[in-house]
Amino acid sequence: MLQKLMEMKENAKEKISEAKSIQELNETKAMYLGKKSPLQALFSQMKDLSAEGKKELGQKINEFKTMIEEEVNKRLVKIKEEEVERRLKMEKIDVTLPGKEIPQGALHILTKTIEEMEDIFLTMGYSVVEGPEVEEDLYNFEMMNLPKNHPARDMQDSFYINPNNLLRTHTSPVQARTMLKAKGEPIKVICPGKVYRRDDDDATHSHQFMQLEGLVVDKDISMADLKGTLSLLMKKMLGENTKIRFRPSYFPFTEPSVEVDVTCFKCGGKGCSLCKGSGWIEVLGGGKVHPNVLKMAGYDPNIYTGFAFGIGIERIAMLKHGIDDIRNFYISDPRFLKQF
Amino acid sequence: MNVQLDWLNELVDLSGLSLDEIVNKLSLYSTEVEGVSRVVSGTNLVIGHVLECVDHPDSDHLHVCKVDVGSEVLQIVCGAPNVKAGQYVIVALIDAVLPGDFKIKKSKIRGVESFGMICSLKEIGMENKYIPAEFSDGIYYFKDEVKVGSPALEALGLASPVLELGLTPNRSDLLSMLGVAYEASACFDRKMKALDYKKVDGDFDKAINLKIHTPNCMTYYARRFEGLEIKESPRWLKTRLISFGVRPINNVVDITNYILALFGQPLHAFDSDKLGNTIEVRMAENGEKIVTLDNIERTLDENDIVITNGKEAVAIAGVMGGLSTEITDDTKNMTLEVAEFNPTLIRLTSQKLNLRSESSNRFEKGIDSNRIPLALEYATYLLKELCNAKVSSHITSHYNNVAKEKEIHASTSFISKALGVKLEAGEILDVFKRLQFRVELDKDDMKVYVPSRRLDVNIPDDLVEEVGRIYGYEKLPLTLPTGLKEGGLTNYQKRRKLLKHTLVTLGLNEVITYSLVSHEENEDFNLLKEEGAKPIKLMHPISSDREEARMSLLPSMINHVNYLNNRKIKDVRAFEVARVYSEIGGKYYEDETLSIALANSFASTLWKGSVEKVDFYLLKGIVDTVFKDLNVELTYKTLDKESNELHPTRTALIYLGDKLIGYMGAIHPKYALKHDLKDLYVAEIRLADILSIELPTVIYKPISKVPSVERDIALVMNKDINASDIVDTIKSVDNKLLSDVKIFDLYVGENVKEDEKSLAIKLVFTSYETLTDDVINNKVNKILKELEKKYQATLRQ
Repeated sequence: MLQKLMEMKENAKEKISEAKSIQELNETKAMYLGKKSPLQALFSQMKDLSAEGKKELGQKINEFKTMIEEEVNKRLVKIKEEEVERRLKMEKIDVTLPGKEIPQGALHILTKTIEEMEDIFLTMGYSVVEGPEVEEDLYNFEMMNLPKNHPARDMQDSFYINPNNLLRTHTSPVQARTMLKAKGEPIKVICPGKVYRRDDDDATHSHQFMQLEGLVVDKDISMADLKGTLSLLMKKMLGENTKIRFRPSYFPFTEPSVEVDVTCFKCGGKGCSLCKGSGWIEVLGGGKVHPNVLKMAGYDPNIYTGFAFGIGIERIAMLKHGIDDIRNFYISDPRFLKQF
Repeated sequence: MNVQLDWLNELVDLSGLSLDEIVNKLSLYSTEVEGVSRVVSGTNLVIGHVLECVDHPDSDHLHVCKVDVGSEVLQIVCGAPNVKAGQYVIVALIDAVLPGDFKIKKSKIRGVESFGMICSLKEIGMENKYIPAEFSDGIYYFKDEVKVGSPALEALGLASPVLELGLTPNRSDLLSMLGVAYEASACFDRKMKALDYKKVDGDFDKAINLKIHTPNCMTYYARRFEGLEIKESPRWLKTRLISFGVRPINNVVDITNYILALFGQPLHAFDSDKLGNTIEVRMAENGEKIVTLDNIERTLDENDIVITNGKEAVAIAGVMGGLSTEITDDTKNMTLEVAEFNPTLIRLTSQKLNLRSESSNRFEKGIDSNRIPLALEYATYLLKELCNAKVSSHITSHYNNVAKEKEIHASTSFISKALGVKLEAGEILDVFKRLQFRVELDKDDMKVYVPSRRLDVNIPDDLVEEVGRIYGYEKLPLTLPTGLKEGGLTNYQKRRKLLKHTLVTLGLNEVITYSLVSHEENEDFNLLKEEGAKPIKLMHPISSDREEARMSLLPSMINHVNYLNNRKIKDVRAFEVARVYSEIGGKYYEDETLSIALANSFASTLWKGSVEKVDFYLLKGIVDTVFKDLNVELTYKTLDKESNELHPTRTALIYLGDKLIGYMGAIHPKYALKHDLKDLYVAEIRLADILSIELPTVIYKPISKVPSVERDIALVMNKDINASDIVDTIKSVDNKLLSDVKIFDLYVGENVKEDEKSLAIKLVFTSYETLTDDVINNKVNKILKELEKKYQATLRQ
């Protein structure tokens, strides 16, 4: 009997190692340890043995059982590993296929440009104020030192809705409104918004466009302050090497008035097609707040002075990004807007 | 204003300055030079003498010429009908480059070699309107003595560059050569030269019977001339007018235009024999008629100033003369008017009659009345010289008051402070000296006397500008305002920014469209229209497409969708935040509004076969998420109004509390058909209330350590019961333990009656303590009872 057990032992090792799946392994295990296994036969023969013999055989059988279980467990680990290996092969994917489309939106480039400017001014302690687009002639023109019959009104062909109201032609009326509200207190604001002029739309004209107005009113505000402020703005917007220059100009609501040029950011000032060889590009207008404007809004121009400027948002965006047609902004084609 | 450099140089010494220097400095210190042009241009152009001119052997219109160009005699084939032997002509030599980058090369024309080209004025770039009729169809030839082989453009007097000044409306002084000369003198610190004319003695003495009936004629000078010889002007005069931009006509007209260009003073000439000896200036009568020089009958009103012969109008003052007293080639005797009229009235009259001219432009911007006597003297000198006129020694004149220097007080410290740079008195005085402003200095204070030509300098701040620009803005330091102010965005602005950014994060593209729409578009999408709201109409729209301010953002959005569809872009995910406009009872309202459009598919990964089609619930999900982000609780109700644009059963009205603030839904199939739209869902929501909400500071609530307990219930109920009512009812039963109510299935069909539906709902209970089954069962039962009571909803068996 012991002899037989030894034979089974040899056989079992081989059989277990041959099992290819968990099921096969379980079958093999049952073959040696199950109810119908030869081991059961050995048990049934045990009653005929002496106590000594019983003890010995019992010991051997236990050793055999332990051996089988150990072998089965070893094989089980192996089979599981093999299965993982197989599964890994099956799970192979093409990682170069495109990922799932997650819809991606974009802010309008005009909004982005305004937000960029707002951020610059917010860090300098400015507030953002807005005003009505359907504006009174009083604020749009008269309080901006453009009385009725002023020749400069020719410059701004406007959309009137009746003799006293119009779609604002610039963001400057927000200056007047802000000053009246501030009641003589110092002011530091920017005013972005839509404006309207009676122009036919083409590549460089739009009957609707956006401006950002700046206004600072305090004691001893100077042209140098305006220059410093705009220089900082333009450096942040267009690059650290950007320089600005003032040229004399005329706006009824500022005195002195200046046009502001920046060094061409394409050629850096050497002269190219963008700046028409001059090295400079006109970007905005500004000046010191005209004493009449201060007076009309309740400030004593002998005590308070100020500066104001107005920037065309489209113009800045067009120059910065090389956009050649202003109508692009209002077509709002996503293929255009997603480029920025 | 066009300024010929040679002419300017005759008034102010600019010798030694390069063109670039002049252009740059004028732009920086004075006024923008928008361009530099030349009336004619080209290289390698010389004067040639046609020695011989014979017909081309092989052509019926070409000529073969032998032309002496000084250094040699060239054979040139010429097709001009007017070329003749003996003429002095403009020759473009081999390698000459003419305007339009046209290069002259040696060539063979029908077998005959040609070594250059005889030029017409057009070929060297002159505009047709300036080419005299006799040279319009052929080459140009000189009538006066010229030197063979010398540069041709110089001989024409048109070589000098012309500066195109872009003037701001305040600088009326720069509408004259003399004014530009003063300006150049200041900018370049160069001396002015004396005017080249002589005072003329009278030949006879004839006064004019002048009466001024209106204060709107401030100054009026008139003088008679007799025995005029009207003819072509000499070349120097014609070329100057051409470079100024005025077509030469005859010597009398040309002289009046020359005075206008030189002094900025318009003149008007009457034929004395037609005018008579009386001039009266008065306001026109309403309905008064006059036929102007252009042979058009004009009807005037009481705001127009007229010149009359005592009986009837003979000119519209400052704007245009009358036909009845016109100067013609037969005119012998002339009365010359040099006057000043009310600028505003001239502007209104010229606007009204649509007659804008060099004269009206100067009158309306304001002239220097001090120059009137001088302008008349100068004109007299030229009329005598060029027209052989006899001159009346009598100058009839009327003036209210002579324009004086303006006295302005300023101080060194005021100007320094305003510019932001510390200036010495000497530096400021130097600027005023260059500008020829007289100054009286008393310590820091200065009295500045501004000449009458500078109508734009009136207040101390104007002096700041004069000092700033001539001193040089480039020398100003870069400083920042020193006063401290608290800044920042308002709550409203922050929330609007958050709204836009959230929409972008959710995959939507921002669009910006025009605020002006057509009247038809403005009738659509009117669900949010306030009681009595009317569209804001423009008085003078550019086109009927843009005649009203929009009352809804959606018509523009529909246009945007159409635009994309026409370009084969079917997927649309767009939003706009903009104002809509209305008038209610004479007041104007602007309401910030959000519009959204979703069409076709929202996202798709085609190779995986996954396509997310847009539908009502996707739109609602976006709206929900955005406003959850803003901490706003919106409620939705079924559409209970008629709409031509929105789907009657797939549209929800959006409420903030009890207030209707928006709607969202599918486009009405009929509207979709009419506008060629497919699968389009839109929303429009008023933002004012939502963005104005001030959120309280959030106080932290500890998170429960006990896991939540979930119970699922399936209810059967009438089909028309709104899910939101069921959810609201459930929530009303318990507000302590019930932390969430989620609908996870909607079922209609088999096993459910035809007029019923089944909703599966997940109830989530959360507490800080372990919840027993009893507690939860109790709650669920209460909920079921309430639902049964209110909606006859029962548990699905």
